[in-house]
Amino acid sequence: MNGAQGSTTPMRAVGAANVEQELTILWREAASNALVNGGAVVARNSVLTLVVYAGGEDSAPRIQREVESVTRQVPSRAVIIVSEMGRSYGTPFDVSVGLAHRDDVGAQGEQILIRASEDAIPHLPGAVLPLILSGLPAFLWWAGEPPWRSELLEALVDGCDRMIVDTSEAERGTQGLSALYDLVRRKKASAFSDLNWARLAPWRELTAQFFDDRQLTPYLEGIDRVTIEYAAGEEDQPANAAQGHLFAGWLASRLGWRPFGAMGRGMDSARQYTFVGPHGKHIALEINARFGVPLRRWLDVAVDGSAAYSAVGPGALMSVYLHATAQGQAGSFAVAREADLEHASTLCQAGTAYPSQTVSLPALGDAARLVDQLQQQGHDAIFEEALTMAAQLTGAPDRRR
Amino acid sequence: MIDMASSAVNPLRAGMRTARTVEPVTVVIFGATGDLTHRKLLPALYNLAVEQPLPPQFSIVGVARRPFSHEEFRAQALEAVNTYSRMRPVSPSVWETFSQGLFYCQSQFGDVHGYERLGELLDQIDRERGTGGNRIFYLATPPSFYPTIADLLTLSGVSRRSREGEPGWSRVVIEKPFGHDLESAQALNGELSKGFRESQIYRIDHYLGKETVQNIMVLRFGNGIFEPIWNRQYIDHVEITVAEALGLEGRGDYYEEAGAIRDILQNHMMQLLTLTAMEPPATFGADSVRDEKVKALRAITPLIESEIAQDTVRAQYGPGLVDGKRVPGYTQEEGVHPDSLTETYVALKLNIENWRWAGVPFYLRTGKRLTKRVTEIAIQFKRPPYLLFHGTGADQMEPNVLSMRIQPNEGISLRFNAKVPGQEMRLQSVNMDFLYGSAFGKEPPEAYERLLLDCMLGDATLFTRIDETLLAWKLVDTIIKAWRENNVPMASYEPGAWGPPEADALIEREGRTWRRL
Repeated sequence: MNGAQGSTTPMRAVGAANVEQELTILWREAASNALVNGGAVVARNSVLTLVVYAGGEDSAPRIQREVESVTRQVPSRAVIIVSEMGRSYGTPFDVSVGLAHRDDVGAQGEQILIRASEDAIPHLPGAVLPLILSGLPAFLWWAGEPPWRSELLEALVDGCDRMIVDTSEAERGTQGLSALYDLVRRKKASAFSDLNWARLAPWRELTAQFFDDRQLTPYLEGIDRVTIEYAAGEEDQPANAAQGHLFAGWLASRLGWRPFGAMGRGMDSARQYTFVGPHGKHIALEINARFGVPLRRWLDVAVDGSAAYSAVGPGALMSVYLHATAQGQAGSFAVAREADLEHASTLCQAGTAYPSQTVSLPALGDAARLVDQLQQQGHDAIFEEALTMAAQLTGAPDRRR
Repeated sequence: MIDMASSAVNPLRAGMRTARTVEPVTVVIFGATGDLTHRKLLPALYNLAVEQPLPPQFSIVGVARRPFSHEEFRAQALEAVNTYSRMRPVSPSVWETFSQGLFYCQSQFGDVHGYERLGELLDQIDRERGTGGNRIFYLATPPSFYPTIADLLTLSGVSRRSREGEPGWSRVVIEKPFGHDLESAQALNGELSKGFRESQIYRIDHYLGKETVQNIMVLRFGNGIFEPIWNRQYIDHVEITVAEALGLEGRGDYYEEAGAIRDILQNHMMQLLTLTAMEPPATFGADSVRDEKVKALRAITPLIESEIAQDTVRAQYGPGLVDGKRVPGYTQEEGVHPDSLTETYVALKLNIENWRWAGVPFYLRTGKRLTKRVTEIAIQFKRPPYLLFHGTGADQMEPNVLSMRIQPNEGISLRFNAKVPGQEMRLQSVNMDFLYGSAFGKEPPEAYERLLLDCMLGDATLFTRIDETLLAWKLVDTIIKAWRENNVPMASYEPGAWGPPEADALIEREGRTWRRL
């Protein structure tokens, strides 16, 4: 993941009640060190609070590295929560604090790491929420699949302005979409980001681009067939169709399609839906898994850079194909990931063949970076409409293949 | 939900990062083998293709005198992008499709047959790549070719489409300097107007493409705390500095004709001044913004010849040492006449006589071979009454300054006074800094990327309108005329200094000093 170079001071253990005092001491020390060593003048700035639920001890170091990178880019306070069932730290909350430094500007942000013993987990909101900086936006990033209906999650969502999740982390495919939709519907005061949705940005961009050409815009009303393909690992593993369904939800909600008839047919790895368009035209939409694609968790892909390891995260879109007719003329519009998994090419045939285009997906995929999500404000109506439609599609009981 | 029947608007665009979309277009670059094209234009167009996908039909035609084939031009372009793009190395997959839209047309800029060939090539690209007759003509040539190219684009009919109801539009982009005085700027505009309406002419000043320059408007009009104090009641004076550490870097011939006043002050600095001084526009539309900039220019008190000696300073750098190395003085530089009277430094005081600024002087300074490279606008506020802090040294404190750094270390800094911790009442100036690089963690696009994209989108907000250009020339012409009559002596300064002592005297006369940057 992109980010300024730097380091974090060794985390300093502190009593849960003394976090603010210890941070003040750390900043003062950083200022003194800068004066002595001739470094940049230290200013204690913050533009937001990022509360991170990092899961257990196994995943915590990776998440912490990611948060450090964010803190170095955005002057902020990060509160990282680590907890796992069956674990005790000898105290309800084992708390430590540190400062994230950037090589060029010095101390830039602060980190508070809270390890919660099992019996203290229900009391986490009482420890975390007072640490949120007043008057600044607060974000909650839940790394991993959230416990959607838990009291802890509900309390943290209520205490923050925006929750960032990743529906690709859902253990059971598209169920994450339904759960997220349910949360969005209930928590109207909070805004939500889904990193899985953000990853669709280049795909939405390239698909929309076909129809920017006024000659081709009429084809939007004449779409009759859509095939969406997403990456899956081995055939005996469950496939994650969340991204495919979000893309379908986006197309349908933007174009005014309504689901028609039964809510999807086929196995989980090959789902078929029928929609009816605003003028009564029927649209057949398929969402298919492509097995055998090398997969890694999205976070690892982002941290290492996909170029260094040719893989994509579970459920990554592999291709989108649209067939349409306008004024009696058929048109085909396709976006397909290249074999290197990093690039996508477009293909357009509508009366005549249009020039093809190849783009770098990481270069267009900035929005999928956590740091970009921290610059979002307010509700993303387009996402919420796409999610609503996707949840409607996946609302049927989950059928294992 | 979108009502698709209501318009031809693409409903899939709603809520996208790139809400503004580029129509298929061919960008024709005159001077395709030159430095600007290689260092800036081709890398910027490639970066745009990578980060903000241009339509697949997007095409580029290079026009220059060298006898290249399309393939040779593509190879040259690849080398340029690989050398200068912020997104290097080039992705072979992206380049493969991008380069298919690259073409070359060999021609002398004054050869009418070359324009016929260009017209045929553009028609062919329209047919084969679906560019729809949309064309941008980018004049990246020496300025002496501008009138010829404008004339022949019109005569040959290559630029005629948008004037005769044919499909497609044409725009022309002109690099600075737009003329070398008021008269030549008017003449050049006359030539361009034969083939292009004002709305089709994009006079580029790359300073306006810089994020920090655009941020001046956001800082002023997007915050509630600055505009109420942005006036003569609270502001003592404004300093605008554009300092370069480098010398001529082989551009002696060009610089001899331009000098600091034409090269920097007439364009970049006047843009910074108008953005600082303008009234809030009604909208961010091109004409709203530019109307306000023009009003600010019109409110500048005309310099009268008798005051020019007092309110302007011109100077040349002499020989000396920079970074321990001996460097020649300006008149010893290659391409410079030994008796040259071209200034490498200019400082001046301007007054803007309107309700906001009357009595607030604007001090401008620019030069080559100065202490360091820095561009900054500093708003110095009036000092508060210090009686309360008598005996604490507060009367020696510097007043509040809001500085907007354009380059390097783009950002905004506010200087204010704070109490030094301790038993005694001691005050010290501290800075509150906002650094672009650290706040957003994102590399801003190059200025040319933003400006090329805006031109493709038909948004002229960040381009200079003719009345702005002419008003700036009018101001500069008056100064140059007085200098030519030799009533302002040519001062001299050490390379690596902040300018001549005369510039210090100009500001110190009124009880002020230049900021130490």
